[in-house]
Amino acid sequence: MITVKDTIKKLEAKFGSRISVQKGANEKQYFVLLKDKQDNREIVKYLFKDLGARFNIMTGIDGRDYVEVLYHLTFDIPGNGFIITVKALVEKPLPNIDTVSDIITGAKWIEREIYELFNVKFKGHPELIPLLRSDTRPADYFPFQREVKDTHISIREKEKGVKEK
Amino acid sequence: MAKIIPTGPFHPILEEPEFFKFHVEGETITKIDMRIGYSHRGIELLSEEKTWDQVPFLVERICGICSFSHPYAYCLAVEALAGAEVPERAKYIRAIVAELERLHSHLLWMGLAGHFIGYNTVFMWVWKWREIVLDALEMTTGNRNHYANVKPGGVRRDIEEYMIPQLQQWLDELEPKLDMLIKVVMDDPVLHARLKGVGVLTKEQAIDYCVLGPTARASGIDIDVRRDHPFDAYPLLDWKVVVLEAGDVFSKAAVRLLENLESMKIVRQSLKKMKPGPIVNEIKEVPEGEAIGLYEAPRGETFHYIRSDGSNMPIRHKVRAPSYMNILSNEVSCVGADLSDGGLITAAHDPCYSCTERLSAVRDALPDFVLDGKELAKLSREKTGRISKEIQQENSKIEKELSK
Amino acid sequence: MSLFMKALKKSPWVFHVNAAACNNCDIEILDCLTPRYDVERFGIKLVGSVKHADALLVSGGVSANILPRVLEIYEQAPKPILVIAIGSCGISGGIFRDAYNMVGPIDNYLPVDVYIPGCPPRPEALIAGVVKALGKL
Repeated sequence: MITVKDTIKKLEAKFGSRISVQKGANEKQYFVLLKDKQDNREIVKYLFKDLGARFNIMTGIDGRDYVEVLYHLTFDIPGNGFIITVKALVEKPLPNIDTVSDIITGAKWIEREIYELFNVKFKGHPELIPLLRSDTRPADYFPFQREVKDTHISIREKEKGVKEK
Repeated sequence: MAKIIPTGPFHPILEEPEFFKFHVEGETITKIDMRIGYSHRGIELLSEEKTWDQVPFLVERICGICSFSHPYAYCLAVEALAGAEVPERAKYIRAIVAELERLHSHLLWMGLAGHFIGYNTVFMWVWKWREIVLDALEMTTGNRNHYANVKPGGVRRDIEEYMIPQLQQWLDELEPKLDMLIKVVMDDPVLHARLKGVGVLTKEQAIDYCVLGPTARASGIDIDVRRDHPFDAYPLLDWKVVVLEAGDVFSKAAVRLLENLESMKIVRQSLKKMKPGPIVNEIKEVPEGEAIGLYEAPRGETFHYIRSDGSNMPIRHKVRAPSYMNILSNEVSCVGADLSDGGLITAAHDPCYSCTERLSAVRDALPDFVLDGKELAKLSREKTGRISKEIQQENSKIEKELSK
Repeated sequence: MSLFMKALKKSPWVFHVNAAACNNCDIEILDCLTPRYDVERFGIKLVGSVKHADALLVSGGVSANILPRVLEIYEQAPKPILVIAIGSCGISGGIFRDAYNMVGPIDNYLPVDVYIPGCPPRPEALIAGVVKALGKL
């Protein structure tokens, strides 16, 4: 039966100084920070194909100098499941990173969504077009970017007379 | 030359807007394109302007059917980050409301599936029995949907002593009806002919597309968040996980029907094991860090990720509903099926497009003939009529032979 | 009152439009057909095409993606038609009022006759609302 300590030992043995492991909120959630974003395909393939994890989802978080792209992978073990999250830092401006959609087919849609909301290009994706955008929005409107979020005026503020921020 | 049949965004079978393009040769589907995104509202950005206690009210309105699963997963994430321990009575109350919600959601799906095949009686009867579950929820939490009963650290409303005999009476009323429904579905030859072997998703495809919930359990993958990542009252109770092998629409229906019985077991055990005590353990401060909360909604695993910087609002809140992974598997399970089964297969994994929060529309395809959702439903009913006639003819032939 | 109007008031046929709603109001509309509330005994029916409808039930605060489709549906509907806005989202946008993809409640775009409050409104409230709307005809 796989335990979380064994998995962390295997990862550290294979990747050594290319990663740094931090414990999350409790014993079941660990975060693995990649020093170089080019290693993301190798580590995701190792966890998904060789160790048999299940892919949960990817998350994007916008920062000042870089966008964080997180890959969440779960191990379903009856009574002792745990989650390992791989963090890659993608530098701005013009952020881009390799795709994992040929390793995991279930990642096709979430990469399209992160492109549409954060403007992160995934190199090698078969069809990188927006997933949710309406026809009336301009093509260079990325709503989750910090610059756009801070200047969005809500209906409540419009009623109070705020014209721009 | 392949013809294209656009369906949507408004059609009478599923209540939510979504768009499918079926590419057909003759009557067999060769490819399906999906556009989603009509219900996208931008909830993740709204969460960043609300305090930790206000977010459950926002998050439960992501979807009306699985309305308890989103705040529950969010509260598990906050409790993991703050290191808070929930009192025991609150654990059992949460389990009771969660399993009642699972019952109401599976019965809702059964009714809609029956309506789509053409069995309107099943639709009317199952929704009549679903009203008993909604009465139970209204007495326990105060509302038929959108219960607003869970908060970080516990629950908001208690179950009083006078409610317990009434709840047990309602459960006793409902159980023989569920048994009858299981027997009807498992033994009916028309349903076997209509649903078996239709829309098959193999185990390798299911692992590659990372599907969740009853869709995965019907294809032989043994996952259930309540058993694999145990939380609250589930490790203290006795229940089992239902897994079948075939991967077609019939297995998906059978998994949901058998799960109903397990939910009733959990509710009955919780009502007996509850002891008096406090119902909430207030969280005073959420420290800096990040955490993940997982919960098994009626459609699969719900995932919430939060990041905090020590203030009283989250700085990032990511929501992923189970239908997000399940809808993509339509690409492979619809291929090779008859046109009249196309709508049934897309509805078989119980999609909840509001949870998926996504949309899109198609306008440019002009095929030779246009079929809308109503005509697809008509094709579906005609096929059921044909199959039942064939079965009747075979039965009468057999009777003639036996009476000779 | 003309014969046409008298006939219309007896059994209105209803078409339902979901403009980016969370589904709860839609499930309560379907609940009205089931044996406990049973509006079919009054002749009220849920139809599959807007060209047969006498009343339009709109639920949800409107998002930018669905707005052109809702306006098309309204143009295709045969007039006179009643427009009924359901739930808190139909009245003011609800809890999603400030979200970046929402463009305002439905009464910025269509002439609404009756508002039914609630989140979600109970089936009894829905029936009372439709009957009140008939009084406006």
